[in-house]
Amino acid sequence: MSLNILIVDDSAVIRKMIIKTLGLSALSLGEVCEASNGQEALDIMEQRWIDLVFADLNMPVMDGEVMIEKIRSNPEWADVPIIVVSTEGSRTRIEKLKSQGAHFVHKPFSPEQICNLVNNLLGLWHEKQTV
Amino acid sequence: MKNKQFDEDIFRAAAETVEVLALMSLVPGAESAEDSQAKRSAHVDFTGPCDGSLVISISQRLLPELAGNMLGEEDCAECTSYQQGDALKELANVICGNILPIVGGAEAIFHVGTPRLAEGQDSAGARQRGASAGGAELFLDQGILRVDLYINEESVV
Repeated sequence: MSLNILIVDDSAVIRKMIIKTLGLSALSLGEVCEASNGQEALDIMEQRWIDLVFADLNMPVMDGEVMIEKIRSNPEWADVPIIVVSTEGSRTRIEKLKSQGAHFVHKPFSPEQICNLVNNLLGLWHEKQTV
Repeated sequence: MKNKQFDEDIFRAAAETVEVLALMSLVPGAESAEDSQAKRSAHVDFTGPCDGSLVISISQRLLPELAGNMLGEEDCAECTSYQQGDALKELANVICGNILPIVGGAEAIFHVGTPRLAEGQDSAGARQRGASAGGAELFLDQGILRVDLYINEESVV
């Protein structure tokens, strides 16, 4: 089954890097959507089902923290896996994100880091589907 | 405010960022190299336990290779000027994000602004906030990457 992915980052270069990296993972890609801030991401999620979100934190208009809170407070999206890809170094902030069920990849990241995390999440997702 | 330790920390953070994100290696033993190439600069401002800016400046010839590597393009000439600028801004953002926990501690919460390209062709075109706290130069095949950290001393908590 193909998964729809949403990549939220104000840097088009990082969005492209993540897309290229996903091509190296075991993920069967469905639709890959891009947003340059949290509000754009929520607008996309209103329109189509998203299976996995990659999100930056520092973005204009709506930052990643606010976006994640809004995703988690919507019953339809509450369980959507979120991978935060950020330079954030504050333990306090990272712990808060993890408590919201988000996974964290620190920038600079290697393609292997993203691939490993995605493949692990994918394994968990398949297990969930077969239970 | 100049801090020798920051020089080393900035060098380490910048080297790791360039190596991991852009797959570029430093040229060993090039510490005294001259670089007369035109430069492009970007800066990112931050506020928090202290306020300041991180400014990066890169040799013009190095930028297409940097952007090409980040984007996974085999031909650097494929990268547009916009993509090159975006790559430079992201580089500033990532280096800054990796320096701030060293400056403010692991629990410190900083707000990092949107990275911006400098108007001019050199680092003087980048807006600088505060006094120089440290800096580093990285020597790569095609040119030099210069990173400078500025901290507003009045803002230090």
